[in-house]
Amino acid sequence: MKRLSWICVATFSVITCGLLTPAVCRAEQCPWLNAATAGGFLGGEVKMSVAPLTLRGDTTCEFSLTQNSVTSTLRIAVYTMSQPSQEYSALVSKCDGTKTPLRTIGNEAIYCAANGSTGKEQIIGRVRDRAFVITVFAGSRTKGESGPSEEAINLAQQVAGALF
Amino acid sequence: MIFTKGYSGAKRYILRLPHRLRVPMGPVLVSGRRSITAPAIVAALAVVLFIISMMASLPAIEARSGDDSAQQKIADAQIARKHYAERVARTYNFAFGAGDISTPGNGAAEGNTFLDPASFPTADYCGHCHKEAYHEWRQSLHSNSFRTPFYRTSVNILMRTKGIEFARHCDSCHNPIAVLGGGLTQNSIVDRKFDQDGLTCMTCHSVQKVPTIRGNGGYVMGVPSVLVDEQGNRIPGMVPDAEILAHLDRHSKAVMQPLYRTPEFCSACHKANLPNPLNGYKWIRAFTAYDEWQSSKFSQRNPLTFYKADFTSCQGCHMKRYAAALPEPGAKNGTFASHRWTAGNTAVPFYYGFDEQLAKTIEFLKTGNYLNVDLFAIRKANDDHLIAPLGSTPFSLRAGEVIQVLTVIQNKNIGHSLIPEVRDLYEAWVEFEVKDATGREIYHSGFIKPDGSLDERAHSFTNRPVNTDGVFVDNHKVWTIHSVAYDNTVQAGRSTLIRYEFQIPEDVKGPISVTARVNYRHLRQSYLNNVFGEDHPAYPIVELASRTRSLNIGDNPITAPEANDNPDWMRWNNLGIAYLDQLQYSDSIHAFSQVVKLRPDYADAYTNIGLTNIEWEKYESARGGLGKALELDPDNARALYYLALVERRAGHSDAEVDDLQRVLAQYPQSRDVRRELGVSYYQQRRPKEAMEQFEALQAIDPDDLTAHYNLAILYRRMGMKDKAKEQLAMFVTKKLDPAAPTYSMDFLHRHPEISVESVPWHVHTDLPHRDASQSLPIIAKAP
Repeated sequence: MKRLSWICVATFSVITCGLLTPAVCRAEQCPWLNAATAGGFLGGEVKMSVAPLTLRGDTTCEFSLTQNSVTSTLRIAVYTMSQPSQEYSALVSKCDGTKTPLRTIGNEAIYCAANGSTGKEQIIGRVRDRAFVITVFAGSRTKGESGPSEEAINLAQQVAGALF
Repeated sequence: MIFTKGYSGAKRYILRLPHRLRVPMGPVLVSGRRSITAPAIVAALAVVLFIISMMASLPAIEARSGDDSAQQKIADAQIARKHYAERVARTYNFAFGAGDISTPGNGAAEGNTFLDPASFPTADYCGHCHKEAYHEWRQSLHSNSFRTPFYRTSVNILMRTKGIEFARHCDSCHNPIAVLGGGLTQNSIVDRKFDQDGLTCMTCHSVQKVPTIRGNGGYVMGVPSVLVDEQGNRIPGMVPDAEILAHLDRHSKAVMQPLYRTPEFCSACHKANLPNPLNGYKWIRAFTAYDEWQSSKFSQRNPLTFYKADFTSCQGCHMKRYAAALPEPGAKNGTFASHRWTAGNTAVPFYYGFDEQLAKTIEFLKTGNYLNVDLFAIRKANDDHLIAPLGSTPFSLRAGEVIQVLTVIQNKNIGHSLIPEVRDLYEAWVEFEVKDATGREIYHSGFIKPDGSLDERAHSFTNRPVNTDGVFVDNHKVWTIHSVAYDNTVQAGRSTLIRYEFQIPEDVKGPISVTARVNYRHLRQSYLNNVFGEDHPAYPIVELASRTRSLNIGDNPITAPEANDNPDWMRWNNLGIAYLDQLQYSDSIHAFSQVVKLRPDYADAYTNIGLTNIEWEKYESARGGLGKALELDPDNARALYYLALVERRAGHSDAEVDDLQRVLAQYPQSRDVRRELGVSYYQQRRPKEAMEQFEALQAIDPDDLTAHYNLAILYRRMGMKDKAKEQLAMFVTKKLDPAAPTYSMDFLHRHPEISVESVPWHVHTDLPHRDASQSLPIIAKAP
């Protein structure tokens, strides 16, 4: 009887995982960028963590690389917006650094260069009703002088491309 | 690096040489107490000869040393590739068979295994020297073949709904490095940084073969190489600039091939089908610009074209040579074959802000004399008389009259259909506008609505593929296509007739101006909305060609033609072609007869009458026109071909074969002649010769149904069971599914505006429906 109960629990778990909460049970994969590409960007083999998918299919992926005790991270957060124009504006307004429009990424995007020496760079963009925020803590990686590096733009195009 | 090693090795050898050649020998000159001895002289001579012989063979030694290094590099690359392939294969989804890396696409690599994306020299590397090529390529469609929102939107749906492995179908052409690199799999271990370069330099310049003209990426990619060794072996990977500069001929051998200048090279991707592994249904033709070119006058492979022209390949139009603005070692005599591939895509340069590419694309579309727009004739209500050709015939108009303007659009100089390839995404249409002298609009068809969408009743050169729900496949979800409810185009060299009817207002202020334009937008508004949502900027609309005529209320005298107007005989000829395609045989013969009157020396005019009679199944009537054509031009291949069909019908089998053989001698690559000759031999019970023709036909068009069908029978009779089975299977999957048109009907009954358009004879009008007793039958105004 006890064995039967365990079988029931296991079956229930499988069904639940398969049908109801795939986000929780799915093998960890970032839907917007694979680890190899993130690794290519950061400069080595990365550790990846992916938050569970929301019901709208959104998630945040984080890739990190530690080299010579310096850690670089790349975080990609995707949100589905109920009211895109307002929510996107609000997201952009959170950029407290210099904003530079980027034409060739998604529907629209900006580069946000953080003030100070935090080593943080952001690209905030939108594809239809989904916003994405790509945040790079440069670590040992050199960031663009006056705007995003070509690699960062390519990375953002990859993310936006996955959202189209 | 490879040759650097070689060279340095050789240099060391040279430096060491005297030391190595030290031999025990006596003095050769008398010096003090020493004297010259005979053995010393012999030894000295031997040394001198040896040194001379070594000097003579130094270049060979040097080359051998370089070749050894090249061989080593090739061997190293093979090992590295093997390791890479093993690593990818561990997690690769071989969904379509063990070892099959590209199905449902046809992309292939030499060695039949994965190619490390890192083995492709980057565009930046090539651009270091080829600055003009790089600059052009960066803005071209080829370099943006993968990353654009327009492509990603569609392929993402495929990946999300069926799985990333199915995207190998699209990406065999849109992103070959991803396919051959093993990147299109779940849990991919491939760094996709190359995505941004799409079809990079070394994808095209590494193709070694296009073995069959099947499309879907029907190429075989070699291991990328920018240099060959002295024996012609391809040395993989990048080499320093100095090595290339020292061996430009070897660089050229590595990256250039005669194949690249042929239309067959383009066919690898500008021809596509939807195979069973993709749609789980059956083989469906998607598009084939290559076959359209082959059927056009520009290929000189088709005896049946209405007009003739000099041979022009795909590259002849889309890679025209012009003066290079930037340093370009590939330029010859200061000109360089454009790597912009200007064609019809305005959306990509518009999105990326490639203003130069956009301007050149628009210039290309507008200046090629590709289309001719002819406001050819007027027919008044209650009057069967055709006032034609306009400009060459006087006539009068009155206020209040209902008139029909017959507009002929000729695909005059495009080497493929209008518009080619994905007609579900691109949008070309006729805008027809009538205004009076005050600018008041009298009639307007083909306008753009405030929401950016096209007037649904416009005469458009688009199609409507539908799924099993009878719904238009609007997101380019090609794997769901089961039928095509509507497909309107003008094939190369042909013409179409469009009828517009309107009433001249009683209070009109003359003269009235009538304008017909062919407009083009890349992409259709609904697809742009799918890609971006509705809040995107308006994408460019380009006027490809137009013609305006001013019509007086009252008398209209003869007017002089404009520069781009066709001569009258050609105008009648185009009308005849349009009628023929609209199955109006009597009118067609009348039009071609006018050509005969204007140009009695023009053999094709008589052939056209013969052809129309054949289409009308009046075979004996056809004989007269064809005979007259052959009187004027005894070797006229076109007339001979059609005469062969008449002979077949009459049972004159030998004459039929004789005529076709004469055509074949002139056009060995004609698919039609091969097909018909195969049929003729088959009917004459000459199976071997029939097989030869059908096999030759398959080399030209591997998808020809007649060839599949007949070869299945012929092979079986010859005891070649496996080949027979293979041909039969291909016939079955490629032939039209007889159940499929029902989905088209589902679509058409819900879309009367398209239903009207799908009938060859239809009129565009805003006037109310009139009953059939009136002389001008009018199709109902669409809701």
